[in-house]
Amino acid sequence: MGYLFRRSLLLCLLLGLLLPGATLQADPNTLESLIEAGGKYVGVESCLQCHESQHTQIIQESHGQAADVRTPFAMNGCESCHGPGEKHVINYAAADGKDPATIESGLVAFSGVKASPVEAQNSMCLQCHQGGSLIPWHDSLHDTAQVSCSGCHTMHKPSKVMDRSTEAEVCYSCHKKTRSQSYQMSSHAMREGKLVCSDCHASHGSNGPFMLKQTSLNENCYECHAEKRGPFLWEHYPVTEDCSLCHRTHGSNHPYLLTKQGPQLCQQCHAKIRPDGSGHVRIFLDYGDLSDPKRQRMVVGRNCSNCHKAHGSNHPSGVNQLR
Amino acid sequence: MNNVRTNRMAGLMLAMGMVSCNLVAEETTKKAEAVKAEPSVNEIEVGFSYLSDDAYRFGRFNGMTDDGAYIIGDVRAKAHTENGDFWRLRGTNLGLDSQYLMFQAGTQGAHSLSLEYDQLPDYENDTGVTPFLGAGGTHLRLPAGYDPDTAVFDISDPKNFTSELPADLDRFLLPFDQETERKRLKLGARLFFKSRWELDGSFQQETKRGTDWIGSSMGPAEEEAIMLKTTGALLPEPVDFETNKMHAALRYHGKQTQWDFSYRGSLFSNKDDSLTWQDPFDLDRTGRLALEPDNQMHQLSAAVGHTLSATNRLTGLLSVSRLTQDDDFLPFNTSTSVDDLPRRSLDGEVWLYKGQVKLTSRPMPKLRLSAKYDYDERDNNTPTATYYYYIADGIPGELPNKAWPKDNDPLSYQRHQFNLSANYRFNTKMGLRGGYKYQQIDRDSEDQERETTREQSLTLKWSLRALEELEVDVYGEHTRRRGSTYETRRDENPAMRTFYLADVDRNKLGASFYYMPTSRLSLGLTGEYLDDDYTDSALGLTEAEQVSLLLDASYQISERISSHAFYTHEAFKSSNAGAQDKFLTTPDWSAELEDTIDSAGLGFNFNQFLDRWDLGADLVYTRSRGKIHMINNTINPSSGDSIADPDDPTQQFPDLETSLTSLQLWTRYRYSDTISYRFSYWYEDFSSEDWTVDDLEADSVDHLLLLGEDRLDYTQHVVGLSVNVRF
Repeated sequence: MGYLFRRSLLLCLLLGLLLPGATLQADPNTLESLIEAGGKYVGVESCLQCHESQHTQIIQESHGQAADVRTPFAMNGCESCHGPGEKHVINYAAADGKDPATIESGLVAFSGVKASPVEAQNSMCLQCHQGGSLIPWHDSLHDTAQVSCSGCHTMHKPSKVMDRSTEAEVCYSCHKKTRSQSYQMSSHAMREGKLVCSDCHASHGSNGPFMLKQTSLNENCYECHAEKRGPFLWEHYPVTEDCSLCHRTHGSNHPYLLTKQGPQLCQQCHAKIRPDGSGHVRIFLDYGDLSDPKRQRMVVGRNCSNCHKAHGSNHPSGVNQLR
Repeated sequence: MNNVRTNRMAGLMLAMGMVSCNLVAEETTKKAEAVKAEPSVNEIEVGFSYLSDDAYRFGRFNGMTDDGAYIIGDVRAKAHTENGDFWRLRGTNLGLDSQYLMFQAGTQGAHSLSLEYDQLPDYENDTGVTPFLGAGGTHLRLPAGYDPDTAVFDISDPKNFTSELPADLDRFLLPFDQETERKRLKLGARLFFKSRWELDGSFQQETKRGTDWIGSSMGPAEEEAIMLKTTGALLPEPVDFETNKMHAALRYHGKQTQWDFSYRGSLFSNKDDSLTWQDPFDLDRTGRLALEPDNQMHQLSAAVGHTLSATNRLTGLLSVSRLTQDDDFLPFNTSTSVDDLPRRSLDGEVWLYKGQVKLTSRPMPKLRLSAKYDYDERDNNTPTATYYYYIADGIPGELPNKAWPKDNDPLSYQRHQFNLSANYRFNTKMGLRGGYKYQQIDRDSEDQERETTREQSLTLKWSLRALEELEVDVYGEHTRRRGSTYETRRDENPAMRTFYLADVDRNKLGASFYYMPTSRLSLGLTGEYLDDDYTDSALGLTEAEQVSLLLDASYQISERISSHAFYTHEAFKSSNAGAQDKFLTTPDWSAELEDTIDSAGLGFNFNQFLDRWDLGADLVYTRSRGKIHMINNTINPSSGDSIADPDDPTQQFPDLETSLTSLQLWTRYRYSDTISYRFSYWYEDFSSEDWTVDDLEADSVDHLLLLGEDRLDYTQHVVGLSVNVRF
C-alpha cells in the first residue's frame, strides 16, 4: 500500500500544481468566446425569415417543445443552441445574403463544411446535458476522440441513433470493425437489431470499462445472463473475474463467441494430470491419430463441455465443474 | 404451418389492398393540390416476406426459420401538443417471433409512462437427436427396449474401447431442437419536478424458456483409470428462467453540480433446480446435476459531477452491491442423502464495492489533463466448509471412502487503478495524447495461483492533419504485468501459468489514415497490431498476436447517389504449450492456433431514380478460417530422438471454415407524398465446415453420447413486398 500511497501523493501534487493555473488563458474557440462574439439575441422570428424549414422540423422534436421549461425553445429559441444571432444578421445583410459567415458571426454551427469546432459544439450541448448518463462524459472515449454530439444526434429531425432499428448504423459509421464482426459465425443478435450497441454501452461515458453501462464487464453480461451471476459453491475463477477471458463480445469464428476453439481454449490454463497418470493433456498424445474422431471424446462435439460446465457449479460434488 | 401462413398472407394482401385503395383515393386529390411537403415522422409499414427454404440458422434471431410467407409490420409514430403532451409509438418486426413494441406518453418536462414489449428468439439448431424421453423436462429417461452393450475396456490398451451405447441406437433417437425464447415486458415512469430534478423508475420482467444442451459425465464402476473410463453425454437441458429487474433513480441536473442516486435490483429465478438422467451406458445408474441456482443482486449507487470552474470538472461514483444465492443443495450423489452434507445450502453472499473519482482539467487552451482513480472490491462472505465430493455419479461406495475432501474457497479481490492522461494540441494540425495506467489486483483465495498482479501501461497517440484533406493518427501502447510469487494449483503442472495471472509484455501499434480528397469522396485505412508475450509461461498460453486491417470508402456519386465499400481483415494467432507428464516442466507438445476473418462489403443508394423510385443494394461477404497446427515434441528418454513426426498429417486437426454471403436489393416506389411501396430481395448463403460436429452421429465417439447435429448450411432467397403509409 505504501507504493499506492506514494503514487496517490504524486497525483495530488501534480493536480495541485495544475489547478491554480486553470483559468489563466482564454481560448477563442470556447463557447463563452463565441457567444460573446455573436452580439445580442434577435429572436426566433428573425431566424424564421430564412430558416423556416428548420423551424418546421424542430418543433416536432423534443428540443422544440416550448412548454417544457428545460428546452431551448422555452428559452432563446434557435439562439439557445446556435448562440446570439445579432452579428450573423448584420453580416448577412452586409454581404447581401451571399455569405452568412456563420462562425465568424459567433454562431455555433453543428454540421456542414463550416461546422464549429467540436469543443464549442459540445460545450453548447453540455450547458443543459451534464446530468444523468452525461456525468462521466468528460475524458470519456468519445470525448477524447473529439466526437461531436451532432456526429451522432440530429436535433431538427428524428435522430437515427435514438431508434433501436437504426442506432447501429450510426455507431458503425465509425466502428467499422464491429460491423464486420456482427457478420461472423457467432455473434450477438446485432445484425437483426435485437441487441443494439446501447444495450451494453453508454456512449456518453461510463464508470466501467469499454464505456459499458455497468461498473464492470461481468455485471454488464449479467444484465442478460443473470444465471451466470452466482455466487456459486465452486467458482471458476476466471469466469468470476472477467467473462472476456474466454468470450469475445461482438463476433467470433467459434461457437458461443469463444475466443478459441476447445480444448485449446481450456488448455491455455489447464494441464492437469492425476496421480494415477490419467489426465486431460493426454488427449493429444495418448490417442495418436487426431483424424480419427473415435478417439477424440474430449475434442469433438462440445469438447471439454461434453462433461464440464464452465461457469461454476452449485452441486456439492461439482468441484471439477462436472455437474 | 404453411397453411396458416398462406391464410395470413391472403388476409394481409386484402388488408393492404383496402388500405391502399382508401388512401389512394384521398391521395389523388392531395397530389392535384400539390401541397408543399412538410416533415412527417409518422409511418406504418405492412408487408410480407416469402422465404424459399427452411433454414433454421437464418431465422435464429429473427424467427423466420421455415419457408413460406411471413407478415411483418413496422410502426413509427409520435405527436406533440403545444402544452407539451406527447406520445410515441414504435414497433418493429411485428408479427414475427422477434417483435418489439414500445409506447410512451406523458407531458414533456413533467412526467411520462412507457411500456415496452420485446421478444428475442435464439433458435440454435433443429437437427439434434437424443434417445431421452422427456427432453425439455427435468427427468430424462430412456425408452423401453434401450439396451446398452457391455463395455470392453483393457487398462493396458486404453485405445481399445468399444462403444457401450446400443448397436441399434438409431431406433431410439428422437428429434431435439435447441431453442430458447426471451420475452420482456418493461414498465417505466419518469417524473420531472422543480425543473432540475428527475425521478426515473422501471420494472422489467423477462422470461427465457426453451431447451438447451448441457454436458454430463458418469463415473466408472472400477477404481482404476477413472479418467479413461468416465462416460459423457450431451443432454437436453430445460430452460425456464425468469428475471425481474427494478431500477429507480433520483437525479439532479444542476448547472454546476449533477447528482444521480440510483437503485438497481435483479432477481433471477430458475424454475428447475436439477436435471436427472438415466445413464445411456448403464441403465442401472442415474445421474443428477445442479442447474443454475436462483440469485439476487441489489445495488445502490451515487454518482456526482461538479464543475469546479470553466476548465475543471470533478466526477465521482460510489456503488455498493450485494449478491446472494441460497438454493438448497443436492446430495453429493444419487446414492447419498442431503444429511451427509456439511450444510443444506450455500448462503452465498458477495459484496461489491466500487469507488471512482476523476478530475479533468484544461489548464491552458491547448492542454487537457485527466486523472482518475478506480477502486473495486469483491468481498465474498460465502461460508466455507469441507465437502467430500464424488467426481461423478455412478461411483459406488459409502462416504467417505470413495470421495475426496475439498473446502470451497470463495474468491475475493481488491483492485486499484490509476489513470493519468494528457492531451496537447500543438496547433490546429497536430496533437499528442499520452497516458499512464497502473493497476493492482490483490486476490484473497488459497486456490488462486497468484495473490497480487501489477500492471502498468503507457499509451501514446499522435494526431496530425498533414494536409487539409488528410488526417493521420499513430498510436502505441506498452503494458507490462508482473506480480507476486506464482504457485501452481494442486495437481497442476508446476510450469503451467494461467494466462490472465501470468507475467506478460504487451505491445500495441496502430495507425489510421482518413483521406477526403473531395467533399464527395472519403477513404479510410486503419491497421493495428497487438502482441502479448507471456515471458514466464513454459506451459499454457505462451504468446498471442492480433492483426487487424480496415479499409473503407464512401463516395457520393451525385446528389442522389451514394455508395460505400469496406474490407476488414482480422487475424488472431496464439501458441499453446502442454506437457503430458506432471513432472515434465518443458512442453512436449504445442499448438499454433490461427483464426483469420476477412469481410468485404459494397453498397449504394440511389434516391429519386426516375423521379419516384429509390434504389438500394448491399452486398457483404465474410470468410473465416480457423487453423490449429499441432507439434509433437515427445522425446524418447533413452535416445533423445523425437518420437513423432511434428508434421504428421494424421496428427493435425482439420480446419474450421465458415463463409457468409448476403445480398440485399430493394426499391421503393413513392406513389405519393404519403404512400410508398417497397420491394425487396434478399439472398443469403451460409456454409460451414466444422469437423467437431460434421458427420458425427450420436454414437460416433466411444464413451460419449453426442447430439448428432447437422451443419446448418443454407441458401435462402427472400422476397418482400410492403406498403408504407406516412401520416
